[in-house]
Amino acid sequence: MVEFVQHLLNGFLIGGIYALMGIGLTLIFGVMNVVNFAHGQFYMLGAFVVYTVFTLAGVPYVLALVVAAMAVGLLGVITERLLLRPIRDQPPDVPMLATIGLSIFLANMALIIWDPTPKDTGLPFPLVGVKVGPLTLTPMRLFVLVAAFAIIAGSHLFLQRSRMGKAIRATFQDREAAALMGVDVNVVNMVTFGWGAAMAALAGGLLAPIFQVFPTMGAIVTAKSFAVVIVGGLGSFPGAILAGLLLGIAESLGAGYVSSGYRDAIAFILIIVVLVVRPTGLLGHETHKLA
Amino acid sequence: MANMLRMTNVEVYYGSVRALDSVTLHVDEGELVTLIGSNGAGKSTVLKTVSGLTSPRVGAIEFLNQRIDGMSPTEIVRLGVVHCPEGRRVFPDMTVRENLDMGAYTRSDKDDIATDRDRLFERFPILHGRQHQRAGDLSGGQQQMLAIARAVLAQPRLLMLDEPSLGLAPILVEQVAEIIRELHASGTTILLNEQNAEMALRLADRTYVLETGRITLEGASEDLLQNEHVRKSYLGG
Amino acid sequence: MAEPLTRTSRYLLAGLLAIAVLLPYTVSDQFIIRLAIQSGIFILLASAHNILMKVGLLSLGPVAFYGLGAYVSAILTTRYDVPFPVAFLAAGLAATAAGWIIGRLTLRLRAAYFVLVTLGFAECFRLVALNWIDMTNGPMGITAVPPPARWFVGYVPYFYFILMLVVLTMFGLYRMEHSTIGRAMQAIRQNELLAGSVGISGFRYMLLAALIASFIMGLAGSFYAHFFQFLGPEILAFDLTIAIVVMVVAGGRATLIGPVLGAIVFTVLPEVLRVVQVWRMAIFGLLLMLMMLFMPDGIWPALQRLAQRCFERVTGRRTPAVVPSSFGSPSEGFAADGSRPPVPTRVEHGVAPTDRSQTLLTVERLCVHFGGVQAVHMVDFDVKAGEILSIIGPNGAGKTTILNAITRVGPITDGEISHQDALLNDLRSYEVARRGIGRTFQHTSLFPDVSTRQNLVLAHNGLEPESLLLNLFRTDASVQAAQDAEVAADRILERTRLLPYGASLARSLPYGHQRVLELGIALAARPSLLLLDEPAAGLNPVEVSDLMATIQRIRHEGVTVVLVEHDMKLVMSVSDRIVVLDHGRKIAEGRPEEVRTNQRVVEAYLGKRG
Repeated sequence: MVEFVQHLLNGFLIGGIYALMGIGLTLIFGVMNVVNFAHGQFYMLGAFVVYTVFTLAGVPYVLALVVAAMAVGLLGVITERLLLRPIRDQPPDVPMLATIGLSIFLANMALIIWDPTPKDTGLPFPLVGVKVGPLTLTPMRLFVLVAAFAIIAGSHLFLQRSRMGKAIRATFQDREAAALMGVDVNVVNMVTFGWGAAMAALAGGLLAPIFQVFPTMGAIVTAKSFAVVIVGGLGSFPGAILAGLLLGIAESLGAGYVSSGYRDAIAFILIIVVLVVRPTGLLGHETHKLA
Repeated sequence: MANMLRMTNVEVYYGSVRALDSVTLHVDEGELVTLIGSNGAGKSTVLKTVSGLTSPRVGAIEFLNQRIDGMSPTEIVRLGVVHCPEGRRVFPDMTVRENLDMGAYTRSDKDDIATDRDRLFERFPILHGRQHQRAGDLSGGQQQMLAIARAVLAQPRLLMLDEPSLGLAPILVEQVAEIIRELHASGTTILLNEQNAEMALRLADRTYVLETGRITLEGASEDLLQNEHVRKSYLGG
Repeated sequence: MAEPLTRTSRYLLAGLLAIAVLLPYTVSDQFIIRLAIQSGIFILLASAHNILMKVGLLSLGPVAFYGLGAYVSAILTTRYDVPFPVAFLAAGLAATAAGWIIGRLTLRLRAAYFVLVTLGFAECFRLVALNWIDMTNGPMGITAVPPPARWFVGYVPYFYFILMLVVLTMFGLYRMEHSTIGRAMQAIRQNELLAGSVGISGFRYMLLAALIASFIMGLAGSFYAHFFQFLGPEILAFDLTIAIVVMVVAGGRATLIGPVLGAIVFTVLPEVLRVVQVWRMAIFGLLLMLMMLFMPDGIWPALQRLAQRCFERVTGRRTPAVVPSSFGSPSEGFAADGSRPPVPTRVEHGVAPTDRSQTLLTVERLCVHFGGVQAVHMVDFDVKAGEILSIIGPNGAGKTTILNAITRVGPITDGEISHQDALLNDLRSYEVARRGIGRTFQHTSLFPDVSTRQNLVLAHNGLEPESLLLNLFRTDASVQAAQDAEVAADRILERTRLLPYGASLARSLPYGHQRVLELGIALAARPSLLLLDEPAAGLNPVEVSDLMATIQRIRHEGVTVVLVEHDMKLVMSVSDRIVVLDHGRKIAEGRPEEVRTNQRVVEAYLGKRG
């Protein structure tokens, strides 16, 4: 029983991270109608920035996270401005291929800058088990859990309450009408993409001390982020959260009780199940079409 | 007196198709001017070009003596030109209240916004009653009211309405016409697109007739009501 | 560039083929031959993937079928001593079976999910290949895969084998494109909903595309295994998937030549870049981004533009503007003014004379509820053969919802709809269309990027037989079908007075003509019952008069009409009977005079002005 709850907890943790990835990706899709194949690379870069700044340069971990978010977020904004904005009016496969190119470029530049061997970032918190009832949690995992949900909550507030958040939601629902209200759609696009990138970077930075960090880790993360978005429903913020948690828990339980070799396949099995049972995704609408 | 809005020899293309050909028109302060013509004649294109959603290849657009062709929609809205688009286009997943607030997006005077909003709720009690409802759940007529209210909250100096009667039952068309009449009476300058020519001619001071991208007739509405061609083509003889 | 092939293209192709055939004898560097063979594999994969794109599907998992074919072939020949030709075919069939399963699973839902499920399938398959050591040898891979035949020594036999496969595939694809199937796929890619309403099943053609594509990929996989004679799970890496998609799109999608060029470039390019070893893939990624920024429709179209500009500069002549070729219309062979050489007419099956008292359509206790809203509630009415029945009501009254329910484009929560005593509830939209029920849509719905005439040809097509074999091999039947469609299209162009616009792109037509074309499209599918959804929207009074006359003429020819409208003048003057809806319920029914004076109707809908 304890083992089960432990798995569940781990599932929540990973799930929260998947939710972070999914939220960014689904918003980018909803607002910009772009399928961002480079999403996992932002995650990878976030992890590497943390590695460089925290492990190599000795900056405090939390500060390193902030640096990662800002640096990768900025990269996102630049990408949107230089790569995506000029091709905005092309058919949907063009921006998709552009992000594929970006993904290949970033992954390989990372290989050149930091070599292929997996890196250990080292733990920012002492490796002491904290007992919460019958369960054991390390401070690191506790931090990740809390941080992930705090970021999700913060994002929600941002979207609901802030002026820019409302502008993003309006653009998401009707781009032209939003423009007629005076919303600068160019700015909204940059903010959305940059923010999605920043969230991915934070996800990567949060998991960096728990798993190893290596330049080719981005691809599988991209794939799982897509799984989260499809299962949750294209364009649905709460759907991404729900699906992220579902995937995290399913993987954790699956790897724990069935087999860890096929762990990565769980995401896709989940996609198939959802597609058969509820095609628009758990919380999705009929509105958007992919590619 | 200078015109509030002036379009001169404007040509607009969608790809290689010419949508507007040498369009010249003007709107003076306080007027209610209407554009009539069948669908595809270019009426929406005129409004979209003024509001910045498209730009003219040739020609100039001036608002209060300032060139606005080529400016972005954001900048144009800030100047006070508000375009209420065809098909209502409310934000379906936002509440009625949030929709209204989006109308005030470019304004910063919080207290005045609140006052104006309350005034609008008074004028449209249905919106007040449903202010926390999802805008997508409103009926067509209610959405049209919301769209107009939203545009009014932006404090337009020039309000452009694109086919507000489209798809509405005759009884609702009456209500919308009434609202437009009130706005005009209170001093708002209005440029109105209408396919329902009868309604348009009754409301407007002056009318332009647009056919396949060109202005073919213009004049005082009461004169055009008597015009042979207009009667035959747009008023059913 | 219009396909079918112009004379210059034919010469070009012949030249390329000659070069290809002679390659092993002119080049001594074995490395180049090997590169050519690899290009060949990628050409097969890219072309197969292109089939999917022709029908509007984007796939990220072609690798799965390829890998499956490779493994099946390798395992059969190494473990079970199955002779190569059998294993080769088995590879293709296994891949096809997988394609069928995935297609059936995903294509009915949202075709877009086909994309990601194929991706998932590829991933799962890779994990299986990695972990099921007993069968696949896991990461060690299968070694000593035998060559196709004992005399396959050196690269040359493989070269000709793959060349033969490529030529056969390209030929087959070319024939398919210029057949009924190709036209149906074009219709689906342009406007799937409209295609369904004229009897073309999006699902079936997408599935067909998936089956053909996976078959070719399976064969390519088998070839790979027996060429490299070694097979490991790295064949299934995601990178390969990306490479294939990139080849297709960068080479120029929806053209036949594009993927070939893309495949060659992207096979050769990494090799060329190998010089810069470490930077290779990073440069590749960078090039891809740049290509999307500056040549988004692909290498081949960019080359064509370049060639055209050079040609103009050299000869000083301006070539006439070409209709954009990215959605090239395969079967148009007309003069620029839209005229055709006369063709003997064939008798088309006429519409049977109808007995006015017979009931054609019955709607019983129809309820459509979504999301807590009762869009339609307990609505009953009949449609009698040969009549014009109008359905009116305020916005949101449920009129379009009823039309959608009848044509099965929208849901039915409860109640029954029967057409000539057959229940429609469980049919799909294209099946309803094939029963002779046609419709138009509220919002302009056309095949936008083809000509007016082609719109009508595609619509007529929906009722043609769709057998793949019939289309590939019995050319005379295929040609006859094409001619019938052309003749029918011309007839409708005349009747709707759109003949002068025959060659214009549908999306460039003025609005009024577009609406007329929509009516023509619905008629092209030869319906006996026609549902019109607000056909007068946006028309001026003169056009509305024309519409009235057209509707009456249609009825005169034996077609029953159900009209959903707001325009009172049109409704009152043209209808035999009227059904009035309000908030999803029927509030009145009867002849125009009766309805006009009905108190409830006046209150709810007509306001002061009747």
